Amino acid sequence: MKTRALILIALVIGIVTGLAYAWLIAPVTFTESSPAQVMKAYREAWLIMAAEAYVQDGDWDRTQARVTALRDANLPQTLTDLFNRYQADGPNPAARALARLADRLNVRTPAMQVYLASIITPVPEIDATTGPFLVATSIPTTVPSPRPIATSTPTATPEPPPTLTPTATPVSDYRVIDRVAECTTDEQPPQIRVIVQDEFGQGVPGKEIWITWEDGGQDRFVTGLKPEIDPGYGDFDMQPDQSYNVGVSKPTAVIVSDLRADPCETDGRTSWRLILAARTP
Amino acid sequence: MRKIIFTLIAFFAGIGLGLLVGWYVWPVTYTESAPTRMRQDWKDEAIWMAAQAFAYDRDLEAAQIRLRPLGSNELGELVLERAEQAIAQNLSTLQLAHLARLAAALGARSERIDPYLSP
Repeated sequence: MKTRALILIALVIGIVTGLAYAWLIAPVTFTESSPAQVMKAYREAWLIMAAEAYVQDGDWDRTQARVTALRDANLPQTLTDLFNRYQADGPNPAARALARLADRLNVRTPAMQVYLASIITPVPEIDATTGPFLVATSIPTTVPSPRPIATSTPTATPEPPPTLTPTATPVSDYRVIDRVAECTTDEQPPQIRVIVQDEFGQGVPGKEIWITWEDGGQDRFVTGLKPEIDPGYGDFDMQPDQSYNVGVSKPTAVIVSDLRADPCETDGRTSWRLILAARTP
Repeated sequence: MRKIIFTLIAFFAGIGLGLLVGWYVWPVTYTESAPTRMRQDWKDEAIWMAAQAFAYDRDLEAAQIRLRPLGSNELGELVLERAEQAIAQNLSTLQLAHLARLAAALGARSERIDPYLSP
């Protein structure tokens, strides 16, 4: 009995010694860790980079792989916390990107909604010559735009529709990299909000966007009139119960079709945010 | 004498068991390791993301902060090396342009990469 006890004690001391050596003196060192195992500060930097890269190129599959690599079981909370921290400093690209990524992951907070909405705050503008629902809302103070001049002599001839301007850029040069439905409150008209980007992800001002709808109507606007939002941004007020198509450079080159300002589940109607990017060769 | 031999055998068996458990069954796991310990393909991904993020926010200081933890003092060279690797991997012109532009912004250029600055 005494011998057995001695052997048992020796075994336990041996195990403790072995564990102490393996855990404390010479632990296994992994030189090939994953983003999930790095320090918190870099995991946050990784998430911000993934968000900004997503906004930059719209590659959702790759973004998912990057985010999944963090193996964050509480990703919505992490995203929300990070967003809150960045947006506290006021509008900045990182907060915007985090809001976009969160939105894509169906993580939405009131602050994010406000932030997203503030990116594309519509400024309704009524143009008497074309009616209230066919006007691309723009801020003429930033970039001068041709304005109709009222004459004292009324004419029975309706103003001709915008002339089709053929350009050398075919619509196939663009693709939709993001298409997001957003809920617009009743105070704001539902809109089609377009950002045109070049192949490097930079906003392209001066791009002609054509909006056509079911009964043969058409209108156009030019990007870049709201540089405070994005150099390649332009928007268009939608009319309820109408279906719209969007084309770049010419009305026949439809790149997105059947956009409707349907009622949201909550108050308001659906606005559409489109990011169009030049195709790479 | 026999008792001592059995005790020693038990002790060394215990050590072996302890090492087995400590190294293979429940090894020490590091959850807050330095980014320099990341596997090379993750580092490559991080450099690419930094280049994409730079294309988006144009914030060179942020790009430097994001690249520095990867363990290189020559950040420009680090990105340039990744760009050259991207050529070998036949990555798209756009991806190369992002890397080339960040490398150039960090002061690193090469004849092979320069054409991608303005593809």
